This record gives sequence, structure tokens and C-alpha cells, in this order.
Amino acid sequence: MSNREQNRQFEEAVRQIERVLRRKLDAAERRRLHDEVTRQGYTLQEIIDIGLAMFPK
Amino acid sequence: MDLRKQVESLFRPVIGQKAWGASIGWGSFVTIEFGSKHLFNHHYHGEWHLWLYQCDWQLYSGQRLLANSESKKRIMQVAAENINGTALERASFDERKMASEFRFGEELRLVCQPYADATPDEESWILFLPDQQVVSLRKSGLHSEPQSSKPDKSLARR
Repeated sequence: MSNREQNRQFEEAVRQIERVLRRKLDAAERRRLHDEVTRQGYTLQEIIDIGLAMFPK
Repeated sequence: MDLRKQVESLFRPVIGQKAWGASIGWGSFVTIEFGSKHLFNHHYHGEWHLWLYQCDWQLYSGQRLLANSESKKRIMQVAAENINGTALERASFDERKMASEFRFGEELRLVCQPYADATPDEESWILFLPDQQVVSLRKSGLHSEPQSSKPDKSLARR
């Protein structure tokens, strides 16, 4: 997977989290999610799971 | 005010400030901190935080390419670390190419452009400001929003 594809994978995780929460994540929330997952080698689904655990509503 | 002037004006308060914490994050995301250190949810960020997000970027030393956004992770990381401790000397913007150029110290130039297939609202970079605002650059222009989270505490200026 190219770096660009990985970048867009992160954005896809954000979109899927937003779909479940039924609201947009703002930039600060996306930064918080990025802080948690960066350099950890998570899969798309793991990022989504972390985001959903991080933002209860 | 045209977009070039808006972008250059946005970065004016950061000019002359030393960068710290420059790092490669997920994929080829680049994050660079400026100003005093603040704790946000167990992670330190500067009062100014630049996040190169959905963009292609190149980092040059003079005319020599050190790394770009499709380089191997380790290459991107060691290249980005050269930014640490250098002052942001200039931030310029080419509206035709939608290219942002950040010059650090005398030699380093970090250039970023939106992806060729970017949608109008895809964010090339995101700048967190000390006044709790967040500004992002998109093909459609600059977009500003309030920041939801506030720092837990701040530390002395580095």
C-alpha cells in the first residue's frame, strides 16, 4: 500500500467512525485519533475500533 | 484578499519560530510543532501545530531532495528530523499549483501540493492556532473551525 493510500485509509477510518457516531469529527478529534494510532501499524478496522472507543458520542 | 495573501498572512505569526517535534505519523503525514508545549490527552503539541495531511510533499536541502511523501518511512523520518531546531523563515503559496512552501533555516524547503485527484474539500494541511481555531487548506480555499479540545496544561517554552 502506498503512503498516499495509507493517508486515505486514515480518512476512510474517520468517515466510518463519523457514520456510526452520526456526526463529524473535528480537526482536534482527528488529531487525537492520529496521536493514538500513529506508528502502531493498526489495520483500518483497528483504527475504527479505537476511534469508536475514544469518542463515546 | 486573494488566497496567496491569506495563506501567507496566516503563517506570519509563526515566522521566526523554531520548529520542534517534526515527525512522520500515519502514512506520510508530517506534524511540526511551534511555540510553547501543551499537553492534549497525553500527547504534547505546540501552541501552533502544522499537520501535512492529504498531500504530496517533498523536502529539499537546497536543490537536493532529501525525501518525499512516497519515500520509505525511515527515510521520511530522518529527513523530517532536520527541521527540528530550525526557524520557519518563510511560508509562501502558489495559487495556480495550490502549492505551499515552508522554508526552514537557510537550506530546508518543505513543499506540499494537494493530490491530483483531491476533492474540493480534501485538506492538504491543517494548522492548529493558539486561539483554539483550526485552519485547513483545501482546493476550495481556506476553511476555519473552532478547536473542540483545550490543552490539559502547558509547559515552559522550549
